[in-house]
Formats: sequence, structure tokens, C-alpha cells
Amino acid sequence: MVARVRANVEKVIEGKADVVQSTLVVLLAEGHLLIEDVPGVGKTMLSKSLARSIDCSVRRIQFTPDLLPSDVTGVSIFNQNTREFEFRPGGVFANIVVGDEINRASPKTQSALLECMEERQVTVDNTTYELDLPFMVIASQNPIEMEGTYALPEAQRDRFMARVSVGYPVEAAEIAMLGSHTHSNPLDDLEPVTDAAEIAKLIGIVRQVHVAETVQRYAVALTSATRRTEDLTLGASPRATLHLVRAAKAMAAIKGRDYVLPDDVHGLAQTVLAHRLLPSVEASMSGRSTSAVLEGIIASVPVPAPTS
Amino acid sequence: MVTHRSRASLVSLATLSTLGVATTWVALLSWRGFVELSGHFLGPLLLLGVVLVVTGILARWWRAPAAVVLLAQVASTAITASLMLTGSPLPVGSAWARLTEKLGDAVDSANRFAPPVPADAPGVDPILIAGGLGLMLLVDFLACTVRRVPLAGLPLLTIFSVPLSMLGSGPAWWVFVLTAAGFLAMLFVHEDEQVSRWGRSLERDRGGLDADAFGVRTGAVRASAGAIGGVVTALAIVVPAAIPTLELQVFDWGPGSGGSGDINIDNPMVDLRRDLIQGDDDPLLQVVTDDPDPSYLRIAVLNRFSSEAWSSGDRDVPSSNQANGPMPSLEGVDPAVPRQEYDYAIAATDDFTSTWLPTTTHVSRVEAEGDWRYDLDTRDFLASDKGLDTAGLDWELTSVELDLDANDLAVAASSTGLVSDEFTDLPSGLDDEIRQLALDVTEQAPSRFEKAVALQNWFRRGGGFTYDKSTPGDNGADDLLTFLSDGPGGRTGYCEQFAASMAVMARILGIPARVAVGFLRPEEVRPDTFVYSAHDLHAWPELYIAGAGWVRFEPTPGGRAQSVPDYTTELVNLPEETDPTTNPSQDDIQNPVRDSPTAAPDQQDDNAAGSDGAADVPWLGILGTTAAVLLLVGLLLAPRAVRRRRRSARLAGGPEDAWLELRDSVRDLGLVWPRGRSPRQTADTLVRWFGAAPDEFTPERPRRGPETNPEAVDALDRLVLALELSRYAERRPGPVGSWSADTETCILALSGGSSARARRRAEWWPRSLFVRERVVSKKPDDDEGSSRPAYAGVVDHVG
Repeated sequence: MVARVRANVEKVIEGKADVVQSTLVVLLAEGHLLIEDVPGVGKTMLSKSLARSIDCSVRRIQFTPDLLPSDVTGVSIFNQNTREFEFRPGGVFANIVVGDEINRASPKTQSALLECMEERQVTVDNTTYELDLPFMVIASQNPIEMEGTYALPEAQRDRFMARVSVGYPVEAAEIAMLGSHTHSNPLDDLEPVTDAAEIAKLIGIVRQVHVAETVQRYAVALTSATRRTEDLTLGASPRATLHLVRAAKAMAAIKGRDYVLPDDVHGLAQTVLAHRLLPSVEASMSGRSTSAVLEGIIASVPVPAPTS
Repeated sequence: MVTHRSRASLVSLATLSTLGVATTWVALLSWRGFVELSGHFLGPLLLLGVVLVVTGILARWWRAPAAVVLLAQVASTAITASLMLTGSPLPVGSAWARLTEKLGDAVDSANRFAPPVPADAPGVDPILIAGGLGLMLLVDFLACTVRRVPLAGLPLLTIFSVPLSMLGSGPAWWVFVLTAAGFLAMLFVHEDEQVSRWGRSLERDRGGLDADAFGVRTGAVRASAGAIGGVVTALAIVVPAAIPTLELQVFDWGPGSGGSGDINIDNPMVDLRRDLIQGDDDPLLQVVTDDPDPSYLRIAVLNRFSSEAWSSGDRDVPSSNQANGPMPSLEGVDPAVPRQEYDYAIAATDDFTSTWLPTTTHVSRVEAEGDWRYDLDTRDFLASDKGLDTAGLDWELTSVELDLDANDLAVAASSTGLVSDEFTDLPSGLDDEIRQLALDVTEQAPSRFEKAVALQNWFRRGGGFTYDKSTPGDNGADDLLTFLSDGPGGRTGYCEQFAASMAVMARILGIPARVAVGFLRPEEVRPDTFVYSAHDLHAWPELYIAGAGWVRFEPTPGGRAQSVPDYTTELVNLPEETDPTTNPSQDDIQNPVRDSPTAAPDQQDDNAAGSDGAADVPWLGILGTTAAVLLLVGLLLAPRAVRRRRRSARLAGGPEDAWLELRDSVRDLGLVWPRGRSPRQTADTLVRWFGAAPDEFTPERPRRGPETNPEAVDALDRLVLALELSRYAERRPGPVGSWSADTETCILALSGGSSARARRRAEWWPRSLFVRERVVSKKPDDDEGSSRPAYAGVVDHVG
């Protein structure tokens, strides 16, 4: 299934297999994805193609400064015919919610979405509405330097399991894109290759993946190291550790294993941890990016030896 | 190309083998001094060498494994040797009886005769042939089978060391030159072949085996190698010849050891005579001791006997030999001999002025004020400061009293080589009468010790000697002749003559002997306190018996010395032995093996030394040396054997064991095992070091990378998968031992990617045995103290 979805998405997003893989990992690990990049590199296209590949409910919310929290969560409206208040679900009521340019919305609206992400439920007028499984928010945002944006606070970034950058396509992929995208929209030709039930089943399988105590120690060692280093003012939270292990389980399942390897953990560390970390002033001044600091930490933390 | 190469390799091996065996044979020429007819062992060894080389060539032609080559060589040479010695290819039945008889005879001759073994005695050739053959096999094994030509120099050196230690003389210069040349040629042939494997061998393909086809490296390189070898060999001969003429003592610290470090001492015998005969009986030494029966206290030892007199000879007293604490272990005394230690506190009166410090014969500790030093050979102490003497001096010592057993002394081995030749030297003009007398008196005594006892008894009882202090005697050769003759004025004397005569007669019999001068027996003045006075001065002989060191005898008759040492009165209770107390003067029985009394003095002396000695066993040295060589070889082979055993044990285990083995193999090859990495990351590193499985023609720097050995890459993947299953899935990936083949494939690939040198080192000196890895890594959280997060709490939430 995973291979089919991947192949399907790659029909639209060419040359970005790793990004597509990360997206699937987050989906199966019951996380949410933050896609961060400059406009026009295919952030929305990636979200849409994933949504199209899975036969499930998909909503797209275009975040704008005037978007209200009720647009996201839903609102109770008085129905004159029935003379009752009736709940009209917001954009978040779907299996896959594509939140475009989330950093253009006001912080209030952003918060409304992020609460739904964490709680996986919506409460309006004292009534709680459960969200369906699978539930995944794929939020895209432009880099915060762009004008007219509200940067996501650290606490909210932490709720996203992973962040990916699509990046510019390589030359050959861009030429291929010209050929396929100029005549028609390739999204139109995309057929679903799986459905929500199958995804839910896969999520169940991922939950069963075994994580050895050695691997747990390794994951904790990695996140702990981010808290100790002087190059970072903010290290990874315990939630980050949790996300890292969940993502590793999903990765192990995608690769056909029912156990997690240390390689799964350190392979996903950049994707899962980097967006939660804040570099220190010294690191910034000396031109070291968060990714570079994290790379150094991954290289320096040894894989624990077996205890026996 | 492979055919050419392998043929060239075989030719080179054959050359190397021939050179090795020939060189060993030439080195064995240095053993000629052991026998009078050296052809009896050199001839057979030459034939055995030819058999060994031919067998080696044939076995290698068939590409037999190293062990098979060695076995074939051992078998073929053993058959040939058996054929030569017994007339039958297999030593079974009567041939076995003949073989054991020959070997028994050889051992017997070795025990009976000092080298060279006479031609008419049963030959010791079987021993020499066996030893020589063993060394030939070892040289061939090292040089051709395991290809460690430099190591083959060790057995060659061993060959030289045997006559050096047994005969006291090294090989003739031409033997050394030929051996050195042979060894250099072996090195050259070996290295030549190594060099020929460098780079491409296109010319060799075209030119076959022609050495000229190697082009550039022929002329100049060979000329240089030859020149270096020649110069080094010449220096090895010339430089040692020049060294003994150099003054080796760079530092000259003490006043007593100037120049060559020797001190010439005046003759203490003169003082003895004066004090004993002419002086008053003044107290000289007071001794406080826990020894219930203190007796002989030695002042000095007289080593040298010239025709004029006994004298103390030279002493070597370096500043390190100071008498200020524990002494070296007793010279020549078997540690098994029972012993008792007593403490002595000695005080000399002002009347006793001596530059020699009186001590007991055996001491384990001496503490005396002033620069008193001892000579290691004689263990007597002398003042090395001018003006230092014993007058008014106090000193302490720990005396060691040995409980010697007559039976042990009677079966003692030869003392040849154990003490300096000085102790058996006799003046060339010594009268034959004394020689004959010594032989006659001891005729019936079978062993060296019993001969000594016979001499002692003869002086004390059987010889009709009288003790008389007034004898104006001396101890030169003529004086002793007078003393020993039964004519007028004969057989009368005092301790000086008795001691000197017995020592001379012992030397005639080949027993190392010397005369000790000191005090006989003190008077007890109060409990534990004894006084030695001037009239207690005495002289006695000390004879060297292997295993017991210098043993005291008492030939002076009862009027003076009341008792003799206990061990000389015990019955020697051995088969075929006569009662040592039997009067040896009944000299009407002729010993058929005794030498003719008319033999020339020198020859007679040599024969006496050789034939008396059931105890002359220089051949024990051969066994000792061989054992040492075997031990050395064992030590060289041990790391390899231990490593192999460890490997086979691990390969029979689970994936963790296999992984450990892989790690150690990587370290053995000098590569760095990635630490703190996951199995997959480690595998990614390892495949970069993989090469094709090594064979005889693996170049010095083989090609590396995963593409060189896909089979090993697959094997490593399987091993990693099994390891991951066992570590992270907590599943048993399969029965133990399933990864043996895969691990071996990986190790082979790693070897193939390493240089020949690294492979050799891994094989013979595996560093994983010697370098223990530091225990991995501090835990990342260790320094967090109380703020350390409880990871389990977080991760427990995970699905």
C-alpha cells in the first residue's frame, strides 16, 4: 500500500522521494506534518496529491489573516426550519486537512487548529465532536521572513511531528514537470490507491511495532543531547522523543520490519527534531544552522551497546 | 600468467628450501668438536637434508597444505634416519631394539665422555643427527612453509650457541661466513620474490622465468644488497675480534677496582703459618650466634696452584658487590637441598688485622661497615679501601648450613662448565707420581664424590700420615711431592699440606678444587658466645660437586681436626657402588678402563677428567637448548593458537559472538572498528574495506570496496540482519553457529582487502589479544545528575 501511495504521489511531485516518504511516515505515525518552504515549490501539490491518493475525506483550508477560528472548527447555526441550533463542521472535520500557508492566519486561528491537532476532537458550545481516524493535518507555511506572516510559536511547532522542506527540484525533474504540468493538471488524473480504512489498519500495525529498550535509550540519548549542548537555547521536548519513536516505528513498518532499529531513529532525527530546536546566539553568529548542530549531535551520540 | 607465476614461486621455494637446508648443514659443522669423527653425523645429516628438500619440493608441487608438507618431510626423513640407524625403514621389532640400544649407548657415551667423544667409544651420533635433523626441519618450516625467513635465523643461532656453551668455543670463522652468506642468500631469494610481485608482470609473461625480464630492478638493487650483506658479514667477524682489546670499564668508582677491576691479593697462607705456628694463642674473634655448633669460619679462598704455591689468584670486586645486605643465591647449590639459617654477630679484636673478612662458607646476608666487597666466584670478602681491615670491626651475617646427603652427592652430574677452568688447572710440570697416587687411592671409588671421600679417608687414616705443626713445609708442587711420598720426611705435615695435597689430587681427578683458609672450631665462653683464637687457624679443601656447590672436606688427621663432615661418613647406598669407607689403599686390583700410567701428563689429565665422570654430561645442555628453542617457538606460535581457538569458539555461538569475532578480526588487521555505531552503519564501513579473498598472488595493496566481493557483502548483510533480530526484535534469529560461514566469508574479504603485512600481523600477532577496548563510552546522561530525564516514563507511552 505504502509503495502504491508513494508511486502515486511521485507522479505529481517528481524527484522528492524522501519528502514523500517522510509524509507517509507521519501519516502512519498519527502525527501532523509541517511543510515549510518558499512559495511555488509544490507544497500544496504534495498535500493534495497525498490526499487524492487516499480515498478519504479531504478538506483544504486556505489560511488568511481574516480567517476565523470558527471557520476551522465549525459553528452552531440556528436552523429556522427545525428551530434548533445545528452544528456545521469546520474545515478540520476530515481525514486529511490541508492547511495552506498557516502562518498567514492570525495566532488565534492558528491556536484553534493546533488544539484540534493535539486533542483530535472539537468542542463547540459544550459539545465535543470526535475527529475520524486517520486524522492528519498537513500544514504548509512560508519562511517567516516573508512579509505578512505570523510565525508559529515554538510551543505550536512542537505539535507537528515532522517538518519537511520540499526544496527546488533538480533540473531534470523541473524539465519533466514542464512537460506534464503545462497541458493539464496532473492532479486531475490522480486516482485513489487506498482508503481510510486501510490506513487505519496500517496505523494499528504500526502501533504493534516493537521498540527494544536499547533503541529507547538511544532515542532518549539523542533528545537529551539537544538539551545539553551549548549550541541550542531550546532542546527537544519529551513530546519530541515520543514523536521520534513513533515515527521510527512507522518507518520500520514501512520497511517491512516489526521492530525498530537505531538506524530508523537517527535517520528521522533531522525531520522530527530540527523544527523544534532554537540555535543559540553563538551558533547563529558563527553560521551554524540548527540542522548542522543536530547533525553533530547525531554523529556524537553512540548507539548503546546491548546490555547483556 | 598464473601458471608462470606459480611455477616461478615453486622454483623460488625450491631454491629457498635448498639454501635453508644447506645453510643449516654448514652451521652444523660447528658441532664437529663434540666427536672425533665428525663424518659419522655430518654425512647422514647431508643425506637427510637432501631427502627433506626433495620431499618439500614434491609436496609443494602438489600444493599440499602446510601441515601436510611438514608431516611428509618428518615422515620421509624419519624413515631415512631409521634406515641408516637400524637398517629397517620402520623401527619395529628388532629394529626398535637396535634403535633403543643405539640411543642408549649414545646417551651413555654422552654421560661418560667429555667432548670430543673418542672414536672407539659408542658414538653419540644418533643424538647429533636427531638434533641436527630437528633444526633442519625447523629452518625449512620457517623459511619455506610459513615464509618467515628472518625467523629462520633463530635456529641457526641456536646451532652456534650449543658448542659455545658446551665447548667454550664458537664456530670457526669460515663456518660463520658460510652460514651468514647462506642466510643472506635465503633472505635475498625471499625478498626478491616479494619484490617481483609488485606492479605489473607483463615482462614476466613475455619472458617466462628469465630473471632479466624483470628489467630495472636487476643490476643495481642486487649489487647493493650483495654489498650490504658482505660488509655486514665482514664487520661481524672483524669487530668482535677487536672488542676484547678495549677497556670496557668506563667508570671506575671504587679504589679497589682500578684498571681491569681485579685486585691482586697477597698470599694468606703465609699469615696462617705464622700465626698458627709461631704466634701466641690470642683470642681474635668473638662470635655471638644462635648456631648451637659453630665451626669453620672462612677467611679467604686460594684458587690458583702454581708449581711454587697455592695463592688466592685474582678477584673481581665491582662496586655493586658490596657486603651491605642480602647476598646472591648460593653458588651452584640446588634449591632443593635442605638448609638452616643462623645469625652471627662477629667482633674482631684489635689484634686481628686482616684485609679479608671472615665469614661462614655459605652466607645469605652480610653487613659490615666499610667498603667490603665480595668476589662472586669465591664468595670471600676483602677490603677495597686502603687502610680498611678487621681490627676492632663488628659485623653481622646470616649463615646458611646445608644438610647434604651422601647419596645425592654421589649421583651428582658433571661440574664441567659450571665453574671456571681455573679450579682444575694444574702446573704442567706436576710429577706423575702424584697423578698416579691420586688414581690409585681412588681406584675403587665409582663417583666423583666417593673419590673425594676416599682421598679424605686416605689422608686421615689409610695413608699413614702424621700431624706435626713443626714441619717446615710449604705447599709448592715439590713440597707436596715430599709430603705425599712415604720416604723420609714424608707423610708428615699440618693442615696446610693436607688441604693443599687433597685439593691437588682432586684436580688431578678432574674435580674442581680449592683451598680455604680460616678458623677451625671456637671455644664456647658462655651460652651463645664463642671465641676463635690464633691457634684455631686452619686450612681445608673445598671441592665442587654439581648441585651442592663447594663442599668442604677434612683431610687433616684427628689430632688436629676431630671430626669430618657428616656427609663424608654416610654410607653411599646406591646399586653397584662400593662402600666408600673401604680402605682404598688396597691397590692390587686393576681397573681395566683406567688409563695407562705412562700416558703423557696432559693426556692423562684429560682422560681422568673424562673417564671418572659418570657425571660428565655436557649433552644435557643440548637438551636444554633444544627445550629453550621449542619454548621460544611455542611462545611465537601461542598468540596465533589462542586467537584461532577463540575464533572457532565464537563462530560456534550466536550472532553477537560472530559480531565480536568480526570486530576482533578487524582490529587484528590494524583497522579501526567504528565505535558507538549501529550494526548497519558499521557494516557500511566494513564493506569499504572488503577485497577479493586473498590467495598466493594477492598484491601488496589489493583493491578494496563492496564491488570486489559481492558475496561477502551479502554474507555481511545476513549477519547484520541476524544481529538486529537478536538485539532489537528480541527474537532468536536461528540456531547457534548458523553464521559461521558468513562470518568467515567476511573475515576473508577483510583479509583480502588488507596488505600482506597486515594479514601476517593478524595471523601471528593478533592485536585484539593484547589491546583491550576501553569500556564503551560514558553514558550520555551521566553528567546530568538529578536533572536526568526519566526516559522510560516517556517511552512507555509508545504503542
